[in-house]
Amino acid sequence: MAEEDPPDWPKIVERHAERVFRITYRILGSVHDAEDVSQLVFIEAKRVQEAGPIQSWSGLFARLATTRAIDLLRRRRQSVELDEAHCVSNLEPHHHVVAAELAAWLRSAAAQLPEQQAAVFSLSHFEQLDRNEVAAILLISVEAVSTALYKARGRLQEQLKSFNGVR
Amino acid sequence: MNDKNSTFTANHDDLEPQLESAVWAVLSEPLPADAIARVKSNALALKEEPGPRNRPSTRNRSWSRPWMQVASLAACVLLVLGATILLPSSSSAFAQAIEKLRTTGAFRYKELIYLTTQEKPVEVQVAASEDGRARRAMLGLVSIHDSTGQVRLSLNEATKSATVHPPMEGTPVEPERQIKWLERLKSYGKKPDKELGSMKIDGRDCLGFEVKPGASVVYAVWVDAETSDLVQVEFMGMPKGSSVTKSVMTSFEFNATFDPMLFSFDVPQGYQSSTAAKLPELLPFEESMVEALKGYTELSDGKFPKSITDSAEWMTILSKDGIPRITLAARLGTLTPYLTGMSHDDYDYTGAGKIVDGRRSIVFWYRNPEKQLRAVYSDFTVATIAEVDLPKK
Repeated sequence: MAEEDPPDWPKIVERHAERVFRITYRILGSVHDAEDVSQLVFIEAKRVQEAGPIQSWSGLFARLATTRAIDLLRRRRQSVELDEAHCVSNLEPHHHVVAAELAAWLRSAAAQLPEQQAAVFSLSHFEQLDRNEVAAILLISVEAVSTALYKARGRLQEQLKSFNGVR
Repeated sequence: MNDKNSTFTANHDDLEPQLESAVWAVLSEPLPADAIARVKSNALALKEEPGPRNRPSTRNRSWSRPWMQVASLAACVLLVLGATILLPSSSSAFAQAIEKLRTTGAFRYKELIYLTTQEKPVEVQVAASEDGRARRAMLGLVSIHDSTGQVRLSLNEATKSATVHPPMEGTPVEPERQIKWLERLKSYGKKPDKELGSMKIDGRDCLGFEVKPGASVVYAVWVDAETSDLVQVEFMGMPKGSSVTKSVMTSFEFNATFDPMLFSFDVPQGYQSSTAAKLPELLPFEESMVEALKGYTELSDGKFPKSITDSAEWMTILSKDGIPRITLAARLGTLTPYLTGMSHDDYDYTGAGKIVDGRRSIVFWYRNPEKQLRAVYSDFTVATIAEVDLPKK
């Protein structure tokens, strides 16, 4: 893919900011958190740039945004696990599943996936990238993407059954 | 929605319907344009912003007095320490203590810096004003920092000498910096990484918490069990080989009242003043490492330093023959903040005992954010290496 040459930070920001925010926001579901993580992503990208030439800014940003957002999501998940379990168990029976609730469930469930599976799932389904693109971003093989995606979907569908069961 | 909706079905056709609905629910959430604009604006500001490791660590000056040479070179190196210690010291509390700290006005505390070279810690009195300025006093030397952490005025109380450090061009004024920093720590997690149990500190029953915001950065936060007041914060995780082993912040006094003149950048009456000159341009980490090592060996008959983090060893070289080496000090000053944020497993300095003699061996290696192993060689070349190329321990 075409990359900036020579590196021009304002141009790089203009080109990638929306995507960085979109990836982090899709994963985290919070504007505040997504802004914070996006900022960290740009800081980290700048450090990487200082350390040596960047072969793919798009890949770097997508990778950093995905992994850093998942890091935070997982940390959050750990800290609110008990409260959340309590909330779920107190839902009214036959409560209507609204989109927002499903989105919140999916984020919570993704936080419980192994990191690579969460990253692959997010890039595949939230960014709607094909397996080759995901593999290039995460620096793993296409086969590893396929395996991680298969496992992630399986786990999520299992969790969805439990979620519906609780409800 | 993004522009790839047309591929949605192809990507998700094998999802269970309710899981597909959940994915749709995420994708259907509108992206707030104002947030994207803020992200852009903040990212663009990075172009000019001197982050902790880009922050200037020294300035030129008139070198008429020996103390100024030493103090300024020390400022080069210790400002780095300030970047890692001063900020955590003022804000690394936890939970309710963080909340209290966040809402406090001006405050003061005592910082104890523990060194490998002496039993007693060095004591620094720190005062922080409500607008983010800080005043650090140690052994009769005072430095006044602006809200971005830069030293703006150095005072020697014994000799009544002052050095004015002009603000760096393009430095953003961030009076809310400290609050933002605290907000970020708070949002790091509502729970600590580890509970450390209880301990009596100065007669108070305290509860301890461990917080790990970075790979090798660890804070032990001690909070009064009854009042949730912050009692003590220990900062660990100094770079390998550093002569500083830990820093302990204690004796906090929140909502303190200060004379505003304590934070003034104006030279006090009765002080003889000089003005610092322009800093050399700061370089990225790898280049700084190469330049620092090259500069050191040029002044030490080709010998590499025993450590890249022992400031005492470097101070001798930096002021060798009474000549201050500002550029070299700035290169050294770039290294510590970078190393402080890295896991100890992700870098090593192996230059101790080596000399520049035409042979090529690794004197420093690290794992960059791209997870590549990069090595600096004794001939000052740099290359990407494989795990098998790492020096044997």
